[in-house]
Amino acid sequence: MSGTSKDPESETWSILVSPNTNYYLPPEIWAKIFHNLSANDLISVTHVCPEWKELLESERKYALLEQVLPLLNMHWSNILRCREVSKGAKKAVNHCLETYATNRHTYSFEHEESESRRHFNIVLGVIDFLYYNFSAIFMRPNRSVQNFLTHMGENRDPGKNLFVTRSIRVPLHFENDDDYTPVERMLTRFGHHVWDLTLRAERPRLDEAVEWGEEGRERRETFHVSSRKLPELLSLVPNIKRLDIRSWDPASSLPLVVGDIRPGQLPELPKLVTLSFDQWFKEESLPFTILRRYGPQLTTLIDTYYHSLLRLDDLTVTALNELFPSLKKLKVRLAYGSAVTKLTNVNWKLDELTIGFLRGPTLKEDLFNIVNNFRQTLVQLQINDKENNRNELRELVEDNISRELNTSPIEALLHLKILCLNIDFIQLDVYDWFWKLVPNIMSNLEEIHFRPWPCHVVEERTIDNTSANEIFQKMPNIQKILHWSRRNGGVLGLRVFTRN
Amino acid sequence: MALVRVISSDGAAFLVSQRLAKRSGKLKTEIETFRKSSDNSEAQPEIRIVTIRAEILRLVLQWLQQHQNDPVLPANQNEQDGRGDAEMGQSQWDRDFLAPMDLGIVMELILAANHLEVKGLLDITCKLVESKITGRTVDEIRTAFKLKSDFKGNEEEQTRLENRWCVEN
Repeated sequence: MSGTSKDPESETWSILVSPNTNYYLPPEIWAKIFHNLSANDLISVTHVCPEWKELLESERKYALLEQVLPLLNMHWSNILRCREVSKGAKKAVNHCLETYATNRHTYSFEHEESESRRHFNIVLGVIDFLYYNFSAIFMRPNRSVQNFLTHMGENRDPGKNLFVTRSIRVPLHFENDDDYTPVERMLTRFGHHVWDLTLRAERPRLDEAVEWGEEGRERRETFHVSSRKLPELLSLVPNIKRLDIRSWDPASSLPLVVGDIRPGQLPELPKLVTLSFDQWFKEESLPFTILRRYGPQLTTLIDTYYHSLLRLDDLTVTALNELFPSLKKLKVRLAYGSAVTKLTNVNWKLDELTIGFLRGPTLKEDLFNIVNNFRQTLVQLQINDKENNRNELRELVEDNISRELNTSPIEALLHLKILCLNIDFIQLDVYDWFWKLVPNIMSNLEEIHFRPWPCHVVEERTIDNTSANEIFQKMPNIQKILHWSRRNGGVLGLRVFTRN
Repeated sequence: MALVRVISSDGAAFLVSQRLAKRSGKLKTEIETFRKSSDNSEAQPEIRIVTIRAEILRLVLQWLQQHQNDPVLPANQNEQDGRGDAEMGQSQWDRDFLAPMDLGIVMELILAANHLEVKGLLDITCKLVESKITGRTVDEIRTAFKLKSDFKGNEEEQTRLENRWCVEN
């Protein structure tokens, strides 16, 4: 029987695809064809016929392993050991670990409902945080980049990835060129394997004697970030999808001097879609330069912690529209002043918005104005703050909201499916202004998540069946109420209420 | 007795009592959705499970049948600390049920139990696979999963080095 046949009518060749009729494709070729299928597709293929199942027996096991691993309850060292079993097992484990790097900042990752997957994500976080963190070597001197290179063998094949989570943290600040050299060597050889890069501007490493002496004071007064290294560093990681730039802790009054750097000096990073300045506590010139360079390709932006970048004078509404044409997900920790006005006027098609502020009456009104601006596209909304518990303010708010409603009614957010609130909002009477509006403008909502805030405070409030039922009654489309609470060790626990 | 037809990915139909089927969270939801959308309350629901083949679906139903009088363990509702639930419920019957299975089949059962939301079955199958990895040497894992090492040159040694960077502190 022939493997191919010519159709005389259409002048095209059709290929017979079943392995037991086609003698022209030996098993190795089929194996090659199936090699690049996703785990899910591979499992489906093996169900097509017994011949394929037999041919793909070991691949099928690896595909199953990849899907099963996140459901198991295992210590990370055991998960890593599976990598030593065979090439296929290594690939399966690597896939699980790599997915972590690209997903760990998404909403669905943080709000993973399956307990076993949540556990697995924590396990991956341990591997990621402890072992590819080269930015805190003053705390862990044996985990230096140089030791890493020596351990792995510097001359190993650069084509093989050695960062199992594909996510690394390196310093942005180098006291001298000697500190930079090992980082440069590591990234020159293996930087193309990195998908997620965190750059951290470190406090200068001073020994105790120096710290309290004259020299220490001098060195502490200004803290230079050697931004001249930045363009070079970034050019060594051409495949990053996510870039996170951080400065040292917020409590420090250490002034930070960022060297002059222009957007044109920064290299092309075609895969970069997420920028995070979540832990950036210093002045804005560096984030601003990076935004100007990579803004147009971004889909996700996490704004600076204290001072929103959006309030910068150069970023007018027109400039913001031009700079971020593809933005889909935005997290603004604290929006106030001109940032609010801009957010109510930009033309972005956001599907996810996380926003934090509710202090004072006008800001609450602004919240609805901002949300209203994204009503056509918004699917998920997270409000990360709670209001001042001062009664006189609350009365003012109610007054403002009702006035606002009378003059320009807030339109319905037809696509909004998920709402995530501070647990404080469970006091339905205190947040009456909110719960009065929600059934009207968020009528298609399917899930409400309640989260603890601030994250280090042990939760006092909780949700009982009465308050859950009250919410179910107010909003007929809600199927689930999820209560996330902080447990020992900062792990999020989950309690789910479903509509009866 | 109200019945439901559950159809596997390869087209085999299983006629199951609704009481039994509802012990799977997924089938329960599907039956309820069918009820809501159907005018005729007597109509027999038909549910297609496109990701599970007949051999595996039969095993899931067999397990459900055996455990039909157990208390239902909610998937993730009102969860307690840790995964204490996994400790309960493994009977001699379960051990005999799993004993002859190839680990490939057990892994398929894990995915099926996860998809159909059958927590008891998910727990015992996961525990079985965990026990074949946790505390085992690489060679023991290979034997248990019937896998051969196909590393070439120093690849195996390098993988060990990568792991060791993580494991050794």
